[in-house]
Amino acid sequence: MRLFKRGLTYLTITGYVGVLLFGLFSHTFSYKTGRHPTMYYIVWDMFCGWSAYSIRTHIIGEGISGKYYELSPGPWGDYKPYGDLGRRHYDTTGGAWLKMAMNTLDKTDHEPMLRILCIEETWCKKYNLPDSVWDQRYEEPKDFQNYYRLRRVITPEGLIVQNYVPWLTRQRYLQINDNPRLIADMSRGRPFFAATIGSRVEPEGPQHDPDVPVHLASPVGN
Amino acid sequence: MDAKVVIPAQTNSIRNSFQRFFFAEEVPYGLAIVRMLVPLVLLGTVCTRWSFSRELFSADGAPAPLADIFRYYDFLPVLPGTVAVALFGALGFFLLCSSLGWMTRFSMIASVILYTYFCFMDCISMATKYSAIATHALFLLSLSNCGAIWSVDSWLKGKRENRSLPQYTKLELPRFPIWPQRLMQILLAVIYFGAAITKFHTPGYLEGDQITYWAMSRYNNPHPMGEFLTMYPILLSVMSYVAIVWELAFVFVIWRKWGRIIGLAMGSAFHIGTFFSLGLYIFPMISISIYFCFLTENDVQWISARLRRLYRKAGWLKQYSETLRLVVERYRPRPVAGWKSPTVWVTGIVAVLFLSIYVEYQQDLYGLRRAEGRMTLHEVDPEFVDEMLAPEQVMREKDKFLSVDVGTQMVSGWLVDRKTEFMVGDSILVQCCLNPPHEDIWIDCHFCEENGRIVYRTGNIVPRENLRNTFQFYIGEVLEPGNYYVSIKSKGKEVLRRSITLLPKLSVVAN
Repeated sequence: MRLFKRGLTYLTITGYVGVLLFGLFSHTFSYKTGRHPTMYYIVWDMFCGWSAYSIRTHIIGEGISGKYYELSPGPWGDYKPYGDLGRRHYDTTGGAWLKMAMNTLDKTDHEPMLRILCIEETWCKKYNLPDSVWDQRYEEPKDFQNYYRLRRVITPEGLIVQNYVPWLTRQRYLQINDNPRLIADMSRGRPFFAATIGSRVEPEGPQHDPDVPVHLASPVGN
Repeated sequence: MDAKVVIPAQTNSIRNSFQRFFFAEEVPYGLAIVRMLVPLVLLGTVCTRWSFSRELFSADGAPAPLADIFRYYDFLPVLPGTVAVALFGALGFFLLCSSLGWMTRFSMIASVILYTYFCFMDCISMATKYSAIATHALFLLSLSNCGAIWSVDSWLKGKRENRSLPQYTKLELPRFPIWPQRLMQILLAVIYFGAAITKFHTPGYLEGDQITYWAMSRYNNPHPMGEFLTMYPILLSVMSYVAIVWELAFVFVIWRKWGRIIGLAMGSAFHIGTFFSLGLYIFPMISISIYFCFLTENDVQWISARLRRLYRKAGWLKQYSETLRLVVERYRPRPVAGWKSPTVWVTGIVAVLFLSIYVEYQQDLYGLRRAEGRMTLHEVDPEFVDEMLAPEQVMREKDKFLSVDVGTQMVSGWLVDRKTEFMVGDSILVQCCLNPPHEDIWIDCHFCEENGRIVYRTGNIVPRENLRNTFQFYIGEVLEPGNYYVSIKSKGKEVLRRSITLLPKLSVVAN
């Protein structure tokens, strides 16, 4: 019994230290860090970088009357996990926006909804500085500017029909594309995938009737 | 009772070193303190979340399972609302029992299972790195004998043994192999090493840029000291270097006496610093609580000796402690039979489960059972909606710039002596800081008279990967003393300005 207990102890020690070291290795060399949810418990990336912009999230619903309603937080109040900000603002991936909106719709009385909109609000973090610090650092008054960007459109049934990149990603994209040479190279080298290598061009399919509107499967397009 | 294992202390073979490191026997003072503190801190986080537990963790709310981020959908079952509320209440009870050391082993195991489950259920407001660290700590505590001293269990056990054993056994505290304590120490060392690796991976960390932006953010609690420190980025840069060196060195120095003292002192200072400068409250509490796993038996004996000496010298202390002892004795319960404690514990769980369900039902989070009917949605101001749904906005030029500073000295790429007054003949440095992201950008720097006339103009291309650019002006004697300003322009627009005053050059007085 004692030998068994000692063996189990050895196994626990080596197993635990081994798991910790694997996490360290995985993190150092970016090897399978996102392979499994348990990796969250052994990869110590406590400082993965902070943006120069503050980001907030608004989840609103558009009723058939044309009025807009707040869907997160629900009318029962907001949970603020780490400070003065509501829970939705910490959902950086937007993974729970749909659930938050549908939960609010499910638990409240409201007119029928046309669509649910998830909107991102962004502003430069320097404007977060308190006035006492700002006045010492800057001669200009604060010229606060919010940037809004529609991130997601959801049907009342919970179907995501439009999805857009964050405002900062979009700005980075615009900045990179502000380069005629790069754009010219990009248009020349447009990637393609030859599905039928060696074959000739297939015959043209039936032409679309130009008088018939194309339905792009978006029930909220209007 | 097993005979004590004799660990050879003379030979230095790897096996013996391993044995001494993991299997030396000590009274688990350190783990007992960790047991008291970590669950208590977590209990605070559980209490603040309990009233929203239906919304945060159950199928009757909007949970955000951690596994979804890793594309493991339905990795764990999402419980119905009432079950989640009851179990979350039970988690609070188990954490309290763990802290008190009541049915310690079972409470710890239940705590680690439930705490891990609820962290997995809400990656937005429950799963953070401090909760991951706390989960490890709870797991290791559940393997240890942390409830053997300074606990309700030991208190009750002591009362029972007093009746059957000679009196001297009361003074002999139980000793156990220290491997769970060692694993917790290794855990901390690995965490810090991993955190240092993260910092290596993070561009702009050592320059202090990342900490500057963190200090400007409002995702955590208020942190006025951090906002103040953004005016001194060189300090943040120095602190970043110190932090990364300390995190890397921790694993190597912590096993020796002075290394341990210095490592833990720096660690405490670091975590307390994050409290004031970054607004982190729970993380420092968890980390510093776990530091007690480095407490050894010798440390406790040393502290006890000091306290005894103080006790002998200070009569008033003796008097107060005697009074306190009498109060404790007055409320000490009579000896209990072995089965009574587990029975009360189980009764407590059942009571907490039912109480949790009942109170939450009465609270009616969603207002579904209100007399006036269901809640209605709050309308959003149409003007605000119009603002939000306006056509796409492009980043303003002035938002690409963080600041402009004027001075004469640079250290580590930062201007360290911000000044507004200069002597004619000085060399002036103008440092312009940019926010990421920005394109490859041409910056104009104008040195102007008070009335706007440009005296000197220069410019530079700042590539997208750079966040700073420094211009240098030599103020020749051709310029009159007076008021001037430095103007930073981008795409023809002034984005920042800094006023300066030129003073006449002091000349040697002829005598």
